[in-house]
Amino acid sequence: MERIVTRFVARLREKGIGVSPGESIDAVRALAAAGMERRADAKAVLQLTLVKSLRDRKTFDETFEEFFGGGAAARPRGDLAGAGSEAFVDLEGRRRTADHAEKGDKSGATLMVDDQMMDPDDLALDRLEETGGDQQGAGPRLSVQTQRYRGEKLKEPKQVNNYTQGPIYISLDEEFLGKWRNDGVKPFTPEEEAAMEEVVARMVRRLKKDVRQLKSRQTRGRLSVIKTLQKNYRHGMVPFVKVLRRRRKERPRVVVLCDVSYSVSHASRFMLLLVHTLQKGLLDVRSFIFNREIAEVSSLLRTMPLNLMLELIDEGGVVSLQDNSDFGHVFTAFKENHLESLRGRPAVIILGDARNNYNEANEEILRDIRERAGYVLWLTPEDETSWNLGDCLMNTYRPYCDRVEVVKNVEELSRIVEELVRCYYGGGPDAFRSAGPAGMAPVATVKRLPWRHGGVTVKP
Amino acid sequence: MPLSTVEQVRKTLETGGYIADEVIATAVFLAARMEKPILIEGPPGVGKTSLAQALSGILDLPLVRLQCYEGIDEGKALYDWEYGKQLLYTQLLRTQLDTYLDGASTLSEAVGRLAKEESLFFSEQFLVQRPVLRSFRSEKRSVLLIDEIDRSDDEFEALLLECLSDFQISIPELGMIKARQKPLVILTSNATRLISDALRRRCLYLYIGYPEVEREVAIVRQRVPETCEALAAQLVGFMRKARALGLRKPPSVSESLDWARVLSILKVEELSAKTIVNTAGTIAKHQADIGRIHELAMAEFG
Repeated sequence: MERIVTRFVARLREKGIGVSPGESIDAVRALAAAGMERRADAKAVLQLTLVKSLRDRKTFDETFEEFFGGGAAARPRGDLAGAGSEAFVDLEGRRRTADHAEKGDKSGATLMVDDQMMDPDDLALDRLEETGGDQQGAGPRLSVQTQRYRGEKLKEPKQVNNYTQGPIYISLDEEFLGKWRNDGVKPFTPEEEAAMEEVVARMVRRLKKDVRQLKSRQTRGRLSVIKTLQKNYRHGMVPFVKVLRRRRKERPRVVVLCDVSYSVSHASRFMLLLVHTLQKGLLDVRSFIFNREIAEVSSLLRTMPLNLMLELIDEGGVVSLQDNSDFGHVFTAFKENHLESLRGRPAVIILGDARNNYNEANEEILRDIRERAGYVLWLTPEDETSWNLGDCLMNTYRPYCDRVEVVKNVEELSRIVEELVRCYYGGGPDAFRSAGPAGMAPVATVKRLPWRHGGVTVKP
Repeated sequence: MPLSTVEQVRKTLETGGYIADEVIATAVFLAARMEKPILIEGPPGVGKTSLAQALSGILDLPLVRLQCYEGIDEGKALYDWEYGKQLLYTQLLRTQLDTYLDGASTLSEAVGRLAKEESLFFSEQFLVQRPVLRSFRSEKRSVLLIDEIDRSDDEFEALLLECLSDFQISIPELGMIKARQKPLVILTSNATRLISDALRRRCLYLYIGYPEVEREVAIVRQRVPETCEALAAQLVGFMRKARALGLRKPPSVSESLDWARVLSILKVEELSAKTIVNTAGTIAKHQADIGRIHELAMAEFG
């Protein structure tokens, strides 16, 4: 029985549910205590001990049906113990023939068993021993070969790919040209959306935990005299309980400028999703989208549900998508209308491919923006090799940015934003500046010596 | 022992006024047998706290309740020292202390003498037993209900981990206090925040969602016996549709029970649009929700 549970747990782990060894021991003990007479009972027991969050329930149900449903799904399964022993037979069958293979030579018995499709009656062990020949009746994927070579040879492995060393030819067909012409981008499928949301949710969870730790470490350490006395009033002002000073919660400020033209639409949609999730607790964000014109969407992000807003943007309701990208114009407009209203010294994140369609570059304005902002991060989906191809102005804009990163996919983008938020909370924007492109430098915190040294601050 | 099989657990819970389904009964059975805590998650009002209360009722065990909130710490959950009482006693015994310390010639000797009597002031008399310690020390096995643990923070969970795995508390002045009888621990959570994995792994995880039709009808009929079968079925059917509306606060089982009581007070035999409109306040707790309940009532019965 332990083996069945272990195999079931292994299957659950393959499907993405983390089950610890302690929990599988609990499951075995619980099954022993509760008994396995009824399938519903056993399912309940396994669910209670192995599945520890609601998200995993669905996967658990499917895996349970698959694993203990057995071969012939039509047969009613009232008896889990029976089903368990059949599964045992399945697995044993596989293992059994693996032994065969080891004992013999290369042409020993090879058995390919598909757990789901097999009917256990076909895999009666005694039949395997006796006949040992090809048994090609039962399931479509069952073939046995033994030491005494009989029947066809196994097929050669199929050729999957051809790796040549010759020159690579790219056909300039419609699809390829379409990519360069910036049209025909497919919208996100619901699965992609769900996957993106999952990535963001995980990142936010991680960040929240770390941010809380970082914040609490920052604000401890200094006594608040008034509050301590107030709290200890009933102890006659003897400070049995001390109250520490809490610094006001200050969220880092970020300004995001997203290019929503077709070439960058995937990345910008993800960026907006990211921003929308982060602004709820972690960041103070002002978000703008641009193509040729620039528009602020912070209030939309806060109030509208995200998919509605993305649809609105796609239709061209916020910023016209018919124009060609014009970064110079965007910078000018941003400086005229919005630069003064930026509070503090926010980090400005620009997401775009810097393809300017041969318009004016206006890079001095980017310099002005950077002065006002304090930190400019440019995220581009294109590789460094294509920065001097065509109308890309990345190399022109690069000197005016504090950091330029290439983001090719969702993971990289979320990693960069996560790093930014962590650094901000750890040591302010300076920490992010000093963290080079090689990755996060250890966060430099300023050490404060205790009062008797006069409150002198010492940089490590 | 009324908890010998799962089926018996279910029947015993039913006599205690709690209609449980398979999973809940199995969870209770395993928790009692394996001495593991149960972590119950689910929407508010589905019977998480009342499970603990029913258990303590049917097994005749004292219920010790710890309500968690943001910022709860060891002093409120495990134990605390009564500083005020210690100070007071010191003041009152001052003359006695003087005579005791009389013979001491040097300050260090006086301190030494006083240190010998330290255990006086950090003794059981000055120890305030908070819920967890109280449940560990009770003579009979108790049911420890830690309510709404998702409102507390990570540090509190880390504290609880230690207590719940070994069922012992270490008080520096008094030493290690082991539980006389391991309590039956039930943690409830409204899932407003994710409980840490370490705590989840220690517990059996039970999710109580909105019940199926039969179970809800049985619950209504048991708690509000005046409700006839037909009315209960109508009521539950309407509630299920209301839950699918996506209201700001979806009505749960406790709203069903309240509504059943209201209807029995009003002596209503059958649901109609007018009745629902009049009693909408028991089902919906926001103005916008009341509007949608009215619409649904019109659509169903109007």
